Amino acid sequence: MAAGSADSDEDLMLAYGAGEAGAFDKLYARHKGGVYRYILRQCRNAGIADELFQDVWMNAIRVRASYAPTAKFTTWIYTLAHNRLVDHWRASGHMKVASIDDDENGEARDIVESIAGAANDEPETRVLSGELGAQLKHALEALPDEQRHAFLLQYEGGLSLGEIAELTGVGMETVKSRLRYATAKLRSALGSVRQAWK
Amino acid sequence: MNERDPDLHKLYREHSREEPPSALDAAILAAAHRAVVSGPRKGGGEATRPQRWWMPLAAAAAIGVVAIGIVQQAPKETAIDATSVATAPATAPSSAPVQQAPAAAAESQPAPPADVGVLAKKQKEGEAPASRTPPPVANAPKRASEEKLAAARENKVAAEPVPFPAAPALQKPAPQKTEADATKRDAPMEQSFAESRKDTARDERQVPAGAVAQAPAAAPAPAPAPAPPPASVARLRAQSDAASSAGQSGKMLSEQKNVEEDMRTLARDPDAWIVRIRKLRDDGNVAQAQRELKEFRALVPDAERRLPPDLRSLQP
Repeated sequence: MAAGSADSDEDLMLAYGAGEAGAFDKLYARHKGGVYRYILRQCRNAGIADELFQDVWMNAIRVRASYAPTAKFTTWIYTLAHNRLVDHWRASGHMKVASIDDDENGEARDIVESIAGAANDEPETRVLSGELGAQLKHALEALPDEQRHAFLLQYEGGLSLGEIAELTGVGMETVKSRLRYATAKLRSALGSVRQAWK
Repeated sequence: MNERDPDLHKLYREHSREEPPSALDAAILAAAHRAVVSGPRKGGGEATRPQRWWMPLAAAAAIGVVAIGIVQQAPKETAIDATSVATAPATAPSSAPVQQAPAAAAESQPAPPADVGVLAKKQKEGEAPASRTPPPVANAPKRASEEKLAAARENKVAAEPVPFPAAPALQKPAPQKTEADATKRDAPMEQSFAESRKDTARDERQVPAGAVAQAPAAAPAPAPAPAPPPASVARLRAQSDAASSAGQSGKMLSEQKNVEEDMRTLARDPDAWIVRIRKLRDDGNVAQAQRELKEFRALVPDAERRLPPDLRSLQP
């Protein structure tokens, strides 16, 4: 991210809002990959991801003049992406069922962890490099929505705990918990492969 | 938990490299450049602003169209109202212009009062049906209804609308009948008026009492003739006397006819007439008072009952 530099994201967005088209090119080049993967990992469909991704950036173009750098540009653009995803889920009827964090007796968590563990049962049959990426994606898809959401915002968007909490509308402790669970599951899922890959 | 797992982060970075299609990149960048070239926009809400701007304009235009329609309708309604109002006192104002016009003419041109009065009356007689009663208004629906009946006989009624909703009210038969009756009664009098005014009075006396009584009865109740100013009537009377004494022409005959009409108009308000006769007597114009008293007795059926004792004794 270029925040804080003379050519920060916020400055570029303000310059674009003032009519400098080249500023948008730089901004888009910086963030297109992270936003695209964030959307792709959430909707798990390349076609839909393309459509949603275009909507997010078109929305950013439309409201460029009203942009105010009250927050980081990254937070702003990922908020746009998050809202577009929520709209997509509402339209398609795919909404989250329940958060594993809200599971009182931990049964759901045990089931999820057992599923993730089952993927590691046959490590010797995988080709390490290619298998590692596939395993990572598979483990990400197996995460609960909230954990995957927090993980992607941190790893793709580079958002802090507070920014994630603000964006998702939950408390910071909740965000911490989600990230802790997500990391643990991914480590567990990739553990044997990582050992072999190292 | 702000600290990331470095191994996991590195692993994720190495194996998570999906990028949007280049075509999508080109489309988004092109849209971004087009947006800048097309001009600055004031935020997302601007797209709907022109629509909001047109809404009050459209509402104002609609209100204006409705107002113009109402204004265009209004004069028609007032015209209809005016004709209906003018039709109601059909017979009442008939005496006023007849009496006032010669008076004004006499006051402005005192030298030949009789001729001016005759001319004015002649002009009025030329348009008599129009000035005394509004027959164009009253007759128009009548004519229209007659034409309508004729068209109905020819099976062509369908497309013709009824002229006015208030047509029955406008077609008041009473005033027209009174006018017609008056004309009928006047016709023989005109023939014999050349002989003398006494003969005319006798003719009027020979008119059946029922017919004489029919005149005020046929006249509409709310249209009693206002008591004319005595001076103007006296002037008329003087003119008629002058005309009769000179044994004059048809002009004088028509003028005399109008004087007789005025007398009949006065007969519709006997009380006012009595007041006028008394005033003539008090003013010293006893001869005129006697003449009018004589006509009062001739025209008013219950004249003796109405006459006060002081006037009963005023014999010609």
